[in-house]
Amino acid sequence: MGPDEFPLTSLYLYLSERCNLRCGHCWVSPTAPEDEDEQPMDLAILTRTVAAAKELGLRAVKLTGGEPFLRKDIVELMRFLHGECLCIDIESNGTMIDRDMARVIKDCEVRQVSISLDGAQAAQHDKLRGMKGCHEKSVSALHYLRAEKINTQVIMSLYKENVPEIEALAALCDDLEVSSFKINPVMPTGRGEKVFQRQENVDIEELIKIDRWIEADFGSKYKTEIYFCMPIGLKSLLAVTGNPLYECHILNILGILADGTISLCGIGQTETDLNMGNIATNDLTEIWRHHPLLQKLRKETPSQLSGICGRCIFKFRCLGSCRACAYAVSGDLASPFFMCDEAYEKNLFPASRIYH
Amino acid sequence: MSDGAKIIAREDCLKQNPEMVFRKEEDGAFLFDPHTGNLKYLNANGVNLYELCDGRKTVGDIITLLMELYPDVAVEKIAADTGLFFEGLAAMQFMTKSEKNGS
Repeated sequence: MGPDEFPLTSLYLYLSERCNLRCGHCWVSPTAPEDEDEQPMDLAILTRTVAAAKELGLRAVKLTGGEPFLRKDIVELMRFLHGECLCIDIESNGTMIDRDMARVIKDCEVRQVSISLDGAQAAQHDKLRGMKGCHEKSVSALHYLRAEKINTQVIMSLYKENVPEIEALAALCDDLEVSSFKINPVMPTGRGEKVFQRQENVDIEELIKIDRWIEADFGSKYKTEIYFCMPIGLKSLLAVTGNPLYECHILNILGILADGTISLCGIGQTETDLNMGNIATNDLTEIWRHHPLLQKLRKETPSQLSGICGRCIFKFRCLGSCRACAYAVSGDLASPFFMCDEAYEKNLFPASRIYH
Repeated sequence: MSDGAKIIAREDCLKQNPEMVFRKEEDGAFLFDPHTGNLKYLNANGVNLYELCDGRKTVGDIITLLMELYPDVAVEKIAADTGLFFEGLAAMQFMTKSEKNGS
């Protein structure tokens, strides 16, 4: 397998290590906004890197963080990416998006802005996000974005305690004309590890029940598309063969951290073994084509996945769900994804999807 | 893969490729090729057709059976749809041709 078989279609730019919220589940564990130690990557180097990545097949760039709008020159960066005809997606907590920023986002023809909301009620959201008043700001951002007719998504991080908020949040998304509502169960990485230690995460039986409930009851009720993020092997037959599913294209992605570190994705912030260099000193093209970590990943994913992931008939499509999470949990990029592993151990993984 | 030319004739007998993984679920089934990762979903009708391929019946025999089952559907449509379905499965190696004795 040559590197040309793997175009680098997406770059995830983690524009700031800092965040103004204190979410208990954050998988990249950002620092405080007043952190003066952050050395953000130089914009000129960043834009040069993006231009080089276009030669490798780059089509889309996701701006994320930390909170990406803490980066002062984000507007300049968006204008550059727009000029390069790249699809731009943004993930933000929304607290820094005002009317003017929404207009800039519109001007740059951003494909989608994802805003985090963990509840329809301010009290629930503010508690999980660690800042009073942030719900109001995030909802305001959605209003500003709607006014500019920008495609929006709400991302909910799911704990046990906010499961009762799902339906109300779906209704709020509908009211705000949000295009899609994505529900992400909290993962045991970064700060999420403590969520699991405190057993505040939703267990696998419940996750499967919620998935089926949403599939059965929500589709006809809301205009907003609703995605419950769970590996395809655990999805219903209808979901597998019907609507598009969220799947990580790990073999076509690179992450660039706030300081220019090149990694698989944001996981490099906590799992430094997955870092491969820095755009200030290393050639991105050389890394993409020849770095041993990427070669190993290409060789092993999915053919040498272990455990239930290696025995699943969907492994060529799913690619083992989140490889970054698998590594964070076990230190092994080929290890099974925790949800599927747990489902298999509890006899909840569909036998019809296992071979060998 | 097929280059578009027909590889299945009406007089061919088809059998299921034993190296492929066939997994039934409530309203359909998956065919999975562990060597290539190819995955195909079959709906209930597809499952019936797949299971009729015992290495003894010809494609023509199967079309005749379907004509009896669906008398209101035009013969040409049944023949065309069935042919297309088997062409697709054969192109992905989920089906192979066999001798009339089923081998």
